[in-house]
Amino acid sequence: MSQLITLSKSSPEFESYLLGTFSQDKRALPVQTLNVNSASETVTFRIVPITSLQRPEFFTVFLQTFKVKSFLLILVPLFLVLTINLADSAPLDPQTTVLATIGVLLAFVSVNLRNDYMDHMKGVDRVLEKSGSRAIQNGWVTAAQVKFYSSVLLALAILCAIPIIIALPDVIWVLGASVAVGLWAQFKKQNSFKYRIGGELALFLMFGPFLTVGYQQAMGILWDAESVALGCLWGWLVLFVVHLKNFANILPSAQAGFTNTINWLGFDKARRLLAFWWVIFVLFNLVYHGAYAGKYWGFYASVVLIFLSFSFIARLKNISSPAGSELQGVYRSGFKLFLTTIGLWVFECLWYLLQ
Amino acid sequence: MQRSVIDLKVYDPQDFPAYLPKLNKLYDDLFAGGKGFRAKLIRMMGANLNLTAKEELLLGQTIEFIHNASLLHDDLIDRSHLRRGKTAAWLKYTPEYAVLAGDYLLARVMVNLSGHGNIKLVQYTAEVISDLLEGEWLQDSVVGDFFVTLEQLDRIHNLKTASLFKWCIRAPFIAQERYEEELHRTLEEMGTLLGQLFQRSDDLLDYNIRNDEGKAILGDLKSGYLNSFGAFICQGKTRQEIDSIVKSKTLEEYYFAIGGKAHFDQKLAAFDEMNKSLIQMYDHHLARLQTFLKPGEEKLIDQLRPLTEILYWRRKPS
Repeated sequence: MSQLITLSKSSPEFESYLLGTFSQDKRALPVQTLNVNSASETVTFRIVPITSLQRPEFFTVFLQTFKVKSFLLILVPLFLVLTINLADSAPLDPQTTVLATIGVLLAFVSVNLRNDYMDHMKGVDRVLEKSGSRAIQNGWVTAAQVKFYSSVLLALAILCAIPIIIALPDVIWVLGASVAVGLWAQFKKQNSFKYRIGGELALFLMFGPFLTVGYQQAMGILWDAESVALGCLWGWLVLFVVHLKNFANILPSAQAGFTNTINWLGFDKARRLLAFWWVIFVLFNLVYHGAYAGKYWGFYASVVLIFLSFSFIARLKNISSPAGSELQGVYRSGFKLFLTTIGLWVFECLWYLLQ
Repeated sequence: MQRSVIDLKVYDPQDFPAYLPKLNKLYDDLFAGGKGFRAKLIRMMGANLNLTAKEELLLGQTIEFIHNASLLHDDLIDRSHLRRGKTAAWLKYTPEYAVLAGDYLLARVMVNLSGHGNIKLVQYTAEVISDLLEGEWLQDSVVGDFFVTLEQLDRIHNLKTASLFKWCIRAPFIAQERYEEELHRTLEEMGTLLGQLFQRSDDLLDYNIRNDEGKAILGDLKSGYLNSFGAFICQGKTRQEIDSIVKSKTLEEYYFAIGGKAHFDQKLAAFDEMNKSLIQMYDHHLARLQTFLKPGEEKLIDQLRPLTEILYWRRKPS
């Protein structure tokens, strides 16, 4: 039988319960609240013995805690930069390339974990019931463990970066800019976790041009306009998914007072933004292909994407409730476009490689 | 002193002017027959917190005005023909009059409360009214949505139903100018839980569960609204299964569509079990409330404790 305990932020035990360090054999699972203003100040925990927790098999816990599904966000741009340079027969350094790939992946997982940890400590995961990996909320791991994993992975990522910086000192500029933007976003989140428009810009830069330019440089190849354009294209697509997710959560996040672009615009304008964002992406993709890749691929990919866009746009047009199941329908439809785009790009890159 | 809901109709002689006979008739019809549960809750709080008779009447009347205004609007939105066994106001007096009568009640609430002079109470009441209207709006927007989730409905019910329960237990403290943040957070959580439990129990009536009131069977479903128990049953079902479930016209058809009566009973037991954890949470917050009460107010705890029995299990406390 579980027991309940409510602690306020001023309580000396508050942090140890949130971190999960209050006991060796029990977990404190924060109970979701619908009264969003109290989410971060007072928390009710359900205290559950670890032995009574329903824990899936290790592999599932691992996949969910480390959000393996989201690796796509980082692996796709790395794959694109790598294959484009291989197809162009650019003289890449295999050692720094391998190190950079591992380092970027480790840094990404570290940031992801840190984000889950912050959301837990700030109460975001008690307001948005589907945010994060839910590994902490389910009691599979403690927040302290997540923070520890994050720190270890970050240290490993730094270890990977050091030899690259020694070998290719120019990389430090991109790395420095990424760290500065990352720290700025983290600082903003720490001070005002409700403000997220700045975070969106940080995501665009870090998943987009900083990543592609930095990775290309870490491979020992000078950055060029193509790597910047590719980064902007990918960053734009990543933000499309972020906006989609924010749109699916428009009601709870607006109630909690989170300020992101979607909430700022409101339901109706946000629908238009999503449609506009996607149309711009399709055009951007066409222009990118016209400038740097096979024009025929740009044409065929655009035809496929435009054809598939109809159902997404129709769903957006028909959605009438910020509270119903249609939101998830829009999200799924938009996410399918995202996956289709990736599929087309991967196919295209393999085609170039086999030429 | 026992007071019926109809007695709560008038707080101030100005409330319903004599030169508006139709309005008075409409309100007489509306208020008569109401159980006045929320006003009773106010009276219970007031008696334990030593509210003056005038304050108690003001609060009781305020909550009944708001609740009845929401019913006037609700019946029109849902096109319900009956309210408390009688013809709904919009049908009897025209939709225009029903809307005006609802608006007038809300306006009287603000006039009477502002006359009382506690600006925090006025502000909180205005917030509750806006929550209620948001909830109405959102609920209407999910009519015809048979894939809505329980979590999404909970958010709507928190605005539409729980806001009034929260008001009932917070307003008496505010009227006494007791504003401790922790106290109000605890009351807010308790009100949310009471509202959810009441709504979920009310939704079960649709499936003839503990339906001593004789509420119409599958009424919500037939009017295109998947309520909380309906959403709980449909969780994890395929689109085809849900399509056939929502077409049910009788309970027998419904049982068949979801896989038999035994499966229905199993789901009901799981639903009750889930709500028992809400009751456990309510009891937990009730214990916390005790720490905020002044000497002589402890009886309030004993009186608030059985509310979950009444609201969810729909039985008189043992």
